[in-house]
Amino acid sequence: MNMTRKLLVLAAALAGISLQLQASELAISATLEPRQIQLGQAARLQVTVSGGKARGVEPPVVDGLEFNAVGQSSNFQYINGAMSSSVSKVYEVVPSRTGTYTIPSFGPDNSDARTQPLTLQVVDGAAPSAALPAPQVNTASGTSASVPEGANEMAFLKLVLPKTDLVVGERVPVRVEAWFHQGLRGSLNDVPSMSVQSFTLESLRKQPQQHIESIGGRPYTVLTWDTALTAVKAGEDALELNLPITVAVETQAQRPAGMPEEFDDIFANFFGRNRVTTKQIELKSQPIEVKVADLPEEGRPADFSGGVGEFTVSASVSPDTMEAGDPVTVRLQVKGKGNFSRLQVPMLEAGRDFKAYAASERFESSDSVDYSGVKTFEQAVVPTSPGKLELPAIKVSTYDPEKKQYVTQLAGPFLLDVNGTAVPSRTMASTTGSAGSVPVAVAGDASGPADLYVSPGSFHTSLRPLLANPVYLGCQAIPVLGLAAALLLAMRRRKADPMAGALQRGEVEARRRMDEALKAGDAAAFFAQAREMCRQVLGRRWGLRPETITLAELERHAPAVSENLKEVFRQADVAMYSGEGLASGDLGAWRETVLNELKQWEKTK
Amino acid sequence: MKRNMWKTAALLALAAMVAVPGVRAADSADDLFYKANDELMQGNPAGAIKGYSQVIAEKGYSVPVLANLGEAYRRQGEIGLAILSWERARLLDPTQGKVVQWLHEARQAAGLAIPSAGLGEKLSSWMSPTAWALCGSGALAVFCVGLFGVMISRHWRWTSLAVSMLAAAVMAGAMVSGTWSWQQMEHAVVVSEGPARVAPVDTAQAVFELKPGELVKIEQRHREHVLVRNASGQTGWIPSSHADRIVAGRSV
Repeated sequence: MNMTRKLLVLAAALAGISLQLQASELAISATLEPRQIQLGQAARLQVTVSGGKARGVEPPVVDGLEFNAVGQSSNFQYINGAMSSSVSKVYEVVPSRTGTYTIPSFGPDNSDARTQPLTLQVVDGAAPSAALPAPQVNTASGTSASVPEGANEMAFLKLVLPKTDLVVGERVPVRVEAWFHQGLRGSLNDVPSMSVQSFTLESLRKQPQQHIESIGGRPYTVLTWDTALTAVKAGEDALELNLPITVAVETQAQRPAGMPEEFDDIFANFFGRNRVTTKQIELKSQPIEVKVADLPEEGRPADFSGGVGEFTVSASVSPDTMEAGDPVTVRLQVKGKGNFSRLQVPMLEAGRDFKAYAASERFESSDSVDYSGVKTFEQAVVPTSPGKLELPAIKVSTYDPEKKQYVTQLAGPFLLDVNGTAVPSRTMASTTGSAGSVPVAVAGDASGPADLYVSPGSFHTSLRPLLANPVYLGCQAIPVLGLAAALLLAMRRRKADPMAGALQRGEVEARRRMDEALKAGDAAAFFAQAREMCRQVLGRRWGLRPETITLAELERHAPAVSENLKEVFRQADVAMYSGEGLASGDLGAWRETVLNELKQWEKTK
Repeated sequence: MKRNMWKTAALLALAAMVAVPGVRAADSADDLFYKANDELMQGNPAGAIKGYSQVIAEKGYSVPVLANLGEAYRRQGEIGLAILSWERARLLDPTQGKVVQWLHEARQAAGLAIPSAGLGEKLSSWMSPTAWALCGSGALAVFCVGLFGVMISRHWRWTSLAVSMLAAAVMAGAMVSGTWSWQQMEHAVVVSEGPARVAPVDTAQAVFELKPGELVKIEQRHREHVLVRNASGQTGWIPSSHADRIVAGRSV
């Protein structure tokens, strides 16, 4: 395809697109967020025009509201032959007083398309509404949110320092802010740094916090680093920070004559007619004069801890009653704000009646820069002799920069009640270890457990529990197989002797009938069934057919059989052969007697 | 007679040769343990870790050694390895409330979710897994005998039934406790922080982050990576060196 044909195809496509754009219907919409703001804040108005020109579409004048254009974007879509394009303009809406404002509908002059009216409620900044959503854009307040004198309005760096009179070793929280106008495109090359040798600036996080602020209606993206600064050398110095950044500078070429203006943004980007160049610049904060004084020699305690700040000290010992050889934990807590990392407390040294182990320390910060919090020192102390033991007080000397003087605080002394007998001088772990796996309290260096086991305990070659052992699992089959075998054997025996099973069933049946007769008060039937039950039991025992067992047979087979059983047989014969009515008053007692006799009979046999 | 004397002397010498090094090894391992404790108390966790590891290599695992090893790792700031050691100690003997408490505190300090104790864990805290396993075996035997009694004896039927029911209850307890132990055995502990990825390559897209000490299940292995499933059911690939099984040496 030659160049002429390519140009013809492109021209045809452009003509088609242009025709379709003209043919599409012009529409306009506007959104306002949030709908309720505090005085001093700004809302965001976005006006979107689709299917036509956005030029000439401006928000109307509203008394008390100021509209500042902060950006524009274009969207162009060609889907299944259907063409659509839209242009959005974003305005920052800044109120000058409280009240409820209505932004009336507005639109382009050459069309009837209009936005819907929008309402904005502005409340007093001093009394914010509870339902007010967090604003996305904040205006500057106070003196801190202003462009520093002499700084570039597009981007500048600020250092916020709480005080400018320091002493050597003093540590103060600082905030570094990098302000970038929202129209500026750029990136950070590094984090802010300081070239002055008299201070150390603690490492800044690579990812700063980010929020949007506004100065005089101009929106800024603000990157914030919270860190701490420590004075290391006496003297006066100007504190200045540097931040290297790369900014993108974009220049737009003029649109050629005849090109539809809808393609300003789209085609310019497609064909690269917008020229973007990058430039490396360094932002500098305004210098802050800081005076650093030496720590005074006068009144400096010999055991000065190195702590500079405002601290309070507390201590505890637990337990306060123990056996000689048992460890106790001495816990010292230093609370406040200052240079905790330099604060070192000399804990207890071993005495005549106690051993002292190396102390551990941990710090729990209550802010993001470890400026305020609690530093805890823990030390294991082991009394070696019984009796009343007094552990000496622990002295903590610090320097208070506000009072400009040294402060010495005492924790203790601590009284301990030690029982038992004196412990020979061996390592405590070995000494107490013989008693088994008894945990001994030892100071930990971080939150959490602080005990150690003092005896190695019993050893296992594997961590696998016994139940994971195949031999163990295999052994579980033994009782199951045993049960199965026993049941099988019983079944085979029953099969081999079918009469035994039948007799057992007959016995159960006779007993059921005997109980029915008892209920009915039928003495004849009762004794007949009682005899039947005896025949079943005895027949099973003697290997005889039950019906062959008579009173004579009973006396012949078992002369020692009880009179009660014989009486049952007699009564049954009486009832059967003489038809004599039997008294039914004591049938319950007879039932118990028969059952007991048979039970006894089975047991003895 | 003389020949018998020589035989006896030779056997005694052989026994001494076998037994003496064993006794010495035991003494040496115990001394190593005490030394490691001293190292830890003097603020040298690295030396203590070396000592405890040597004890394990020489004599095997014990709750006190694993517990103290975990504490040494914790003091060295390696919370993943600390939790791994304590999980191992707990698997050996869940009745050690102290170890369970340490695990709880370590997880809390590391910002990890604390798994709620189910029935299995509660039962396991009554007896060691070995004791439960032996009780379960005994109960199974009693249950079988009782069941046989129920089936063949008329006079001991109810007694047999009661005994069987009791044995069945003990067996159920042993099974629940055993299931918990088995599940613990299947777990691995994340020892290094890092992302879990969609594929077993280091450049694949990260799906979620794993924290040291987190309990995961290893489901698959591919060269130097393992597919893990975390407590919330998410799966992802991590380098195999980032997670260690509670029971070392179990294959996937």
